[in-house]
Amino acid sequence: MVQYDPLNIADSIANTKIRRLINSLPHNINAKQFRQAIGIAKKGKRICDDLIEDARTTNNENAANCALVLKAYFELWESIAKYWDQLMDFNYNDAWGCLQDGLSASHFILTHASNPEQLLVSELCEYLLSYEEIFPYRVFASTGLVVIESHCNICGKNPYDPGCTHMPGELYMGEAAVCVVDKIEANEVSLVQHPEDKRCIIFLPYDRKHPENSAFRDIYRVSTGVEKPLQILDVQRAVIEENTSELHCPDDWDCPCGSGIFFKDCCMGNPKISISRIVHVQITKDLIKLNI
Amino acid sequence: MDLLDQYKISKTNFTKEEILRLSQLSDQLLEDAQCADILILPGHSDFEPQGIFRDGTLSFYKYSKKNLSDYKVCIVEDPQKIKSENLRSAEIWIPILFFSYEFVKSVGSDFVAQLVINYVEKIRGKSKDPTRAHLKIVLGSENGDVPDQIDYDGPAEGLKELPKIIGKMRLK
Repeated sequence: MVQYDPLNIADSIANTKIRRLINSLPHNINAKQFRQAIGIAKKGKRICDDLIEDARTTNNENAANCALVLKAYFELWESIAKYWDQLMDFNYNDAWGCLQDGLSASHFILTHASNPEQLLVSELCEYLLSYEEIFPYRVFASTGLVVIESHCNICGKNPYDPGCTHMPGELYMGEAAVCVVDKIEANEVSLVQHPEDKRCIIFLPYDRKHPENSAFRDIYRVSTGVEKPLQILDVQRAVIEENTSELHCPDDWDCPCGSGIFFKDCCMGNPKISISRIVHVQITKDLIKLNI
Repeated sequence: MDLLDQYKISKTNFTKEEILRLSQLSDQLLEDAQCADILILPGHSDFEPQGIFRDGTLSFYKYSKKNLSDYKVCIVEDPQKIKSENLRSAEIWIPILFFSYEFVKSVGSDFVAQLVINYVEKIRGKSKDPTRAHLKIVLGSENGDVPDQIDYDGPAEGLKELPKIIGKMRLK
């Protein structure tokens, strides 16, 4: 897959502006000025939209795709800022959605950017994943659908038509190719452990006045205890032996021992099972530092 | 548990001729399918004429058009009539693949296994999340005999054992 340098901006004025905006984002988030950071990220996204339009006018596909990856980078920071804004308000279900938006953006950049290390994208992705781990969501709703009619968003043809040469996920003139579904049949909704989209949560009610007494106690403790939001979490795990009969794990779910095999084919018959559980979450002094 | 145990080898209940006869393809499509190296078959757990294709069919088809352009890959259905599952799952579904006898003979069984492994690596990208993979491949047989099939449902890492499984089958 072709990769793009999001910092490759020919226009020197836009280049300076973009770098200034990017460098100011972590400062604002660490100062807990989340609304301001959201505004900066939105401004960055608007500049990217203009860059994409300019590149399309001059038929410069590389520039258009670079600007699209850059836009995703601003979306990543916007998601982090919104995530913290929701956390401070104890809106944990909404914060989870922002966390997933950030992870989607980071995966997009890791796939398409030629220099994700310069932008600390892997670090930011790991940072979000460490927070994901301390949320209590473990089961998600997932739909089983049948796609009856669809078209390619780039050429408008049926994606199975030999004339459609576009690869879903690849970038074309500042746009990612996707298969747009026109007609669909819904077959089922299942509860699963590994959905494509973790935004479909099973809503967990809690008292916003006392989140410390709810399933969100870990995320409450960390989010209220952190001095600077971009501090790195150290999630410590330990292997603990538990009684298999007390786990109430469905037969066709992944075995809790982490083998990746169905429970029925793995530890179901054993009286005890070794499970890796979070035992301690610590906020370290290390900060994600960005300077481009 | 050994991931090799997650593989199931069995005989199919159809031959290539039966697949093409039951699929009611147009003359042009039938001609393409007859000389195809790899057929993508409809069905979820088994080949099902005019059935719904597995999740991942479009992804595999597009991948093959780009990366396997030296070989002929054909979906056993009119493009306008293709219906496919969309399971919204992070698991990897590989469509039911029928590799023609001539293709396996010319490229070798290691190539067939590597083709599947490369595709899964491409789909997973840089993700290190544990995920399951679902595979069903049929290896065409000589003289119209009933072909062998391999089913795998298990951790995606287990697909690295596929060369051993295919190699063992070919030795029989």
